[in-house]
Amino acid sequence: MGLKPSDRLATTLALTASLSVALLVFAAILGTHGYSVTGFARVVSSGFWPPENLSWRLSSIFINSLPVLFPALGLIVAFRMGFWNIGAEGQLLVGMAAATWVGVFLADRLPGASVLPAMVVAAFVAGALWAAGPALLRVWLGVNEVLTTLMLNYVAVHLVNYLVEYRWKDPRGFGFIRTPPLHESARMGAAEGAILVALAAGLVYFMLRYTRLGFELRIIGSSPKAARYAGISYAKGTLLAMLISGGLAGLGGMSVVAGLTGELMEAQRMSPGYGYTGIIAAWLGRLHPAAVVAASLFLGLIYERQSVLQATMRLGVGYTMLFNGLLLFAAISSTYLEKRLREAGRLG
Amino acid sequence: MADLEMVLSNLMRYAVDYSTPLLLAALGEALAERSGVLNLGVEGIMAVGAATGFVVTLHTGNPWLGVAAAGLAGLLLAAIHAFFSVTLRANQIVSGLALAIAGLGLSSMAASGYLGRTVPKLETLHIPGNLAPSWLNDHNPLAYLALLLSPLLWLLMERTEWGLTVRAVGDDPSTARSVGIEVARLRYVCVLAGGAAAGVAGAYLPLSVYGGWFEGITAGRGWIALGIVILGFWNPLRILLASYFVGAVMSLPHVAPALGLRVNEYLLLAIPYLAVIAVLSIASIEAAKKRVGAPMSLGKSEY
Repeated sequence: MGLKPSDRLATTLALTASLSVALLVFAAILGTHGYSVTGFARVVSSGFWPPENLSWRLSSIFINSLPVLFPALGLIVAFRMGFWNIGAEGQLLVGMAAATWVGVFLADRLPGASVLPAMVVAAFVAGALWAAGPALLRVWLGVNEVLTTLMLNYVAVHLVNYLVEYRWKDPRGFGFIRTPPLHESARMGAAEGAILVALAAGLVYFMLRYTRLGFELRIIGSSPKAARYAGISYAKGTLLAMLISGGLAGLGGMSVVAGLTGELMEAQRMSPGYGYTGIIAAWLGRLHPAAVVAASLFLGLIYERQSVLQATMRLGVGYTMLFNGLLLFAAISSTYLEKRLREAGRLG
Repeated sequence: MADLEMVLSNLMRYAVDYSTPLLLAALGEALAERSGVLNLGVEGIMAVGAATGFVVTLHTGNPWLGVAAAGLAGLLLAAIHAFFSVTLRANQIVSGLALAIAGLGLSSMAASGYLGRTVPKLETLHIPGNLAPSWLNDHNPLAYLALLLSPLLWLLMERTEWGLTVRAVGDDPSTARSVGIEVARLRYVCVLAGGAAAGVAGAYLPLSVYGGWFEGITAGRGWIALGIVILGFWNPLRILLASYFVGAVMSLPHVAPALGLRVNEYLLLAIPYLAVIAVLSIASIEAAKKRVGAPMSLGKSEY
């Protein structure tokens, strides 16, 4: 969009430099805790060769990135208008529960081909409704959305745990706290995932770029005052943006249960904080749909190797969280660096 | 009737215990926010404080060293946020979130190797004579520290020139700078002090409540503290009341059985978070009526 080549160079340079520093810091922390940095690099980069492994590995990374990708796409919409939805984690969890309900208890009575679409609808609606509360409170009473969306994350954790333990527990589960497995027609592979991603990313891109709503959201985000003078409704914009944002986070929940686990367990075993990681992907991708998809795939690379890292190097989920936090710092450093580089470019 | 009285006294006692970490963290955050810096990283700082307090106490056997180390760790983490939001003038919300996520990760890395170990708790303090009602007596020293800190911070903010300067910086940094106030330095001081308070608040959990550490020990208390700052309209005395109220709600699972309430455990666990949403809504109505609000430049890095 009218970027000069020198500006694009500034963006690339700034992002590369910031990410390199983040990786160095992470490597240093790994090293000081007595872990092998080269071992870590080997685990993450292995499996791409020989070529016959490549397609399997790529589709595995893709499936593992979906729980981050869908929330991140939704967050683009909310963040573009300056609405701080930090509740993607909760929206993801309720979407996951809704998809499970369809996939386990309703799938028998539905024609096979309609099960996945029904799960998509259920997960989207559940996530959207979970997001609607904070949006309404913000619009009606001016309640800070950062805190309401966050509080609901914890409520969603307890809700999922309640459902799994007291409502949906598998009587033949050998005492494990988990639901019966999803019906076969309710499982999702890379192909179905790709269709959903194309739809979701296309929808977000098209909506932001070509619709009146997208235009209004951008105006609200850049200047709420100007939006008010132009007669744009903050209430309507907020509500619609949050319905889309929450709904897409809900799809992320569906992708966990339909694409990865195949059953619902306690919340802390289902999500290592995918919704929070979605915030990082959205920011790393600078709120542009295509770049956010790329950032999510990168984060999926780490999630895909989580179990291997745990097994071979005893690296727990804490390392992934630290890694993610450093990436977010890198994202904001790059914005700063880029600004400085452009200023320097203009002077020189 | 005597039973009810005992249950009530029990509730009030638990409420003091549960409110202490919330109060400490919220007072620290209120100071930072009054200077204009929103620090969403409280949850991560508390988590690191909890892990540091636990590990240091495990190695030294002295919980006070644990508390001191946790305060120092909190200060260092807050310095990262101050660097990004004050020096680089980056987006404060994103920097705070990054700190929250990285802090949760760090804490898990630091402490998970000692999972299952127990540490000595801080000894409780007995106030002699009839000075304190029984529910307020025999708590650990950090609880009294938090109770004292609240009026002290109020005095500092409302009755001293330094407090006035901090509030000016939070409301209108560019004017403050034009009259010669060192905005950046003052913001650093407030954010760092707030971080130290959050670190100590985190250490309170293993060293007073649990006597050990587990994954997710902070359970969103850092986020709740952020809500308490809003509930308290950035006023240390109101923050004390708000913390105590939320602490009482968090104590409900302990007294529910005695009251004959049979509620699902998960519902009881979810209630504090729902209660925070409810009271935040009420406070927002009240704030609109009384025209009180956040420091005017809160969260804005550019000035």
